[in-house]
Amino acid sequence: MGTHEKCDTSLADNRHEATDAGIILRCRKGDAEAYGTIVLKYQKPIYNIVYRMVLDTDDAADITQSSFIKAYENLDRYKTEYPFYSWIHKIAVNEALNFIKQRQRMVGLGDRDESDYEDPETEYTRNELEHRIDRAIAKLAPENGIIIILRHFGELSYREISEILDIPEKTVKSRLFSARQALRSILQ
Amino acid sequence: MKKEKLVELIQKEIDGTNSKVESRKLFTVLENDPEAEKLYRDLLSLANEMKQMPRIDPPPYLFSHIMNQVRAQQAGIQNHHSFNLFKEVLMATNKIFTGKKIAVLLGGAVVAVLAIVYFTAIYPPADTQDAVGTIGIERAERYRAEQMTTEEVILENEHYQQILQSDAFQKLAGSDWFRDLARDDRALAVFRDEHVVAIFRDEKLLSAFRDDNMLAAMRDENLVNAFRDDNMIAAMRDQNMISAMRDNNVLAAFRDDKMLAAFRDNNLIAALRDENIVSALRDENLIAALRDETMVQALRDENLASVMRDDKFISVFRDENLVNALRDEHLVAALRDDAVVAAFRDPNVLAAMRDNNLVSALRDENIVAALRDQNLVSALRDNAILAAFRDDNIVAAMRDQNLLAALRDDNVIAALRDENIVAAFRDQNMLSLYRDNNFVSFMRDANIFQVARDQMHLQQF
Repeated sequence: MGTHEKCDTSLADNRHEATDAGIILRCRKGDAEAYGTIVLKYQKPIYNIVYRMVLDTDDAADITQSSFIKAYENLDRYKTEYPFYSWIHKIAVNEALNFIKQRQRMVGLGDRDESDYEDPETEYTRNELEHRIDRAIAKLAPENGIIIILRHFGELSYREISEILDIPEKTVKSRLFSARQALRSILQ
Repeated sequence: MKKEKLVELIQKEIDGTNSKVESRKLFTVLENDPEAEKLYRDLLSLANEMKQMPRIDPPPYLFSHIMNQVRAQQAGIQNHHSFNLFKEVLMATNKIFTGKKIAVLLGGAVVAVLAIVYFTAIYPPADTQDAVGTIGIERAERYRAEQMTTEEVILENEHYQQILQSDAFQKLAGSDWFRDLARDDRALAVFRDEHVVAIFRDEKLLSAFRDDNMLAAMRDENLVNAFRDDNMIAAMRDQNMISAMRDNNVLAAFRDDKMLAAFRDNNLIAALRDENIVSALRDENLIAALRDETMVQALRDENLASVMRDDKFISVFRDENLVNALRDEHLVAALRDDAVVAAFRDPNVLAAMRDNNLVSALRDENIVAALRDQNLVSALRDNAILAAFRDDNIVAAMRDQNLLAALRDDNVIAALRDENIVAAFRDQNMLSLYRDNNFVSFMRDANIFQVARDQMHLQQF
């Protein structure tokens, strides 16, 4: 399991570098090692978003891995005029949502509470506040929960969230407000 | 100010995107609207709390796992060879059937089967424009005497022809893992087996091969080595195993990294040949439990694998409550304990476990909850308690409906969680008391239990 630390570098600091497109072009020409730069750059933000969605470190690692591989396999479909971070986030969010659906099908909705999703080691090291917030987010409607996670843990802007979720910015704002209010009332 | 505008300003303020003018406007409104002010403070505090939550480092292996898969894919693409290797492989199989009009590549031509499966399942049919050579005109009668050319591959099935003549197939033929597999006699023997060939004709199995994890696994050196393992080969030829592999749940399990790792273990493979285990494997709940890492580790234990071959034991394992309990790491740890496993091998304990009453008790939610309790699990590791389980009297008592009813009672369960009670169970005198026929019959008395449940509370008792 990874160690907890405060994230002091936001994705926003470097994500718009023009180098992403250049790296992707190199990958398309067969330079597999170039993809390593992309993985190193985005694995932590992607892993953190996925972790907050599934609340299990192993599952988060599996989903992050499959997202990067899926992105690599489909690099030909990626349009370089759009930001790569948005594309890889979209893939990861969809992978995580599919995983959650599959898990719910397997276990049955309502058979477990959200604390069951956590592995004991993670559970043990988390502070109470973090635990409460994670549980509260898990109680939100999925479309609201994902917006909270992308905004607060992915530190993404309204526009970026709208690109990832394919919804208008206005909808992002209104859902974010509803989600924050719902979260507030759950926590009170 | 309209509520909509106020909400927008509150959001933007929290997100740090308000201009100075907008901020001033917002705070002026908030000064005169205590309700809005409270909402703003609450949401701001919530946002700050989330901001302070730690970001987690991905596991150190993640980067290398991703890059290994990426490199493997790239290697498969870059290794361009024409049909040379394919010819070599076909020669190695030493068996191509040619008919008057049909040259049947399936059956004897092991690697061709593998290739066809690979491409039928994984790659879409090649564009006919990419197909090279002549199709279905000449026979491959000369292939043993001379180097075979593309034109000499005769197949009536147009789809297979396209596959074999596609760029994609050539890429496969050039990849290291395929070359290794194709040259290995034992691996080839697997694919010659008619049962295995039957698997490859199965749509469900083919769909499994389309899965990313499965594809990655096929490129994995360890898995390729596993295919060379006699045990694995024997398991793959087993009818039970073949029928299990057609099951959706089993296929899902095969796609799981942890399960794939476990499937390479000799003990597990041996267990997998057992009809009962194969039938249990079709159970969705069990598959879910089997994907749990602690469970996978436990499954590699030889002792546990041997216990799991018992059909009654398996029927217990199919129960949803028990499966949930099995995901608990304490219980799994107990299952790995030699003493516990030894107890499971004890005829008395196994006899007890085959008893319908006991099985029904084990399916009870309260009992399962008790099984998850650390105190109880640690008690199970205690030799004295295990010895008691081997005692005929105790086993007989465990089959008793009244006792089982008591075990389902919340108070009794609570008692079992109590450290003092568990300690008492470890006491030899106490255990010898439980072995006493009179005491056992006393314990079976429904009235005694009624009293214990309703009035005495077992802790005090």
